[in-house]
Amino acid sequence: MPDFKFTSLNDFLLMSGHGIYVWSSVAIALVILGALIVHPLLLHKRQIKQLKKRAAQTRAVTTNDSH
Amino acid sequence: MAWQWFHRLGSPRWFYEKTSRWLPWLIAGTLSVWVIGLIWGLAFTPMDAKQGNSYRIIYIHMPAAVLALAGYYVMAIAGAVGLIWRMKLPFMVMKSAAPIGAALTVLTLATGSIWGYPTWGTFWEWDARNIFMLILLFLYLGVILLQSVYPSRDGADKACAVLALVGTVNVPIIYKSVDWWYSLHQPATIKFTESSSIHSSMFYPLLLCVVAYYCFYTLALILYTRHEILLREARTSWVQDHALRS
Repeated sequence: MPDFKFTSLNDFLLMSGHGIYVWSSVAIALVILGALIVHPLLLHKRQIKQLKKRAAQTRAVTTNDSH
Repeated sequence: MAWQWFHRLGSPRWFYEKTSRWLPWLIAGTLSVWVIGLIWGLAFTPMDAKQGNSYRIIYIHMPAAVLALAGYYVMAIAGAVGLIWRMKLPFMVMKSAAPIGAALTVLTLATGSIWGYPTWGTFWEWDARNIFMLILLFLYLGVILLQSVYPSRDGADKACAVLALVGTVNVPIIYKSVDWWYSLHQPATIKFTESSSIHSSMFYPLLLCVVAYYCFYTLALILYTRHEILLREARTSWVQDHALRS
């Protein structure tokens, strides 16, 4: 079982001066990878909404025609 | 029939309905593997003797680079299948692969540049691998741009597939660039044909991160493709029914 390689949480965050590089890389990864999941989900949601709207419109047109 | 699966694979509806059930498992799998791999790599692996703690960026950078390259093959092969068999779904996959690949290439370049500063003393160097990685980004952006400027969808798909196929030349060049023009970027530490020069204590968490990125890539590709299906199949009755039910 590998053990924790830092003496304290503070030491883990600072990483003997390299913390800023490591943690900024982690942050950029979270932002970019997160965006690649959220973006298609938003597009998907918008498309469903649009399809519903279009269906409602065609239904309105057909009911008008029948009068 | 032996070819039935292949035709079913080309059906957007089949893909959409099948992947609905896969999504929760994929999300759970990706998250758990990534969290374990990343925490193991960041906190439980020994420090690199030469680079100190900054080497830990490898757990973000290297898997992103692997998927930026593998994703290019996904895009090009999907384009080729679309061209050869004139199927709808592969072109949707090809279009979906472009933004994911571009984002992963940006992630690779950004984390590489952050890693470069404490290691090479510079954020950017016109190193062979850096240059070809930049070309990869332009190829992905080219596909995205071509999709939006073409007036007809059919023409855009074909043009993108051709561009993607021509660009595949770049992928093996990136892979071998560290051996052919060795300047600043370190050579590969994980090798398939000979023994790896990375220590096993660092290898296993890195392997987990690569697996997590592969799962992530699959997830993102499915999500983008599902959106593309709803967009392109908007006139079909099953999409309209699906929209009304959701």
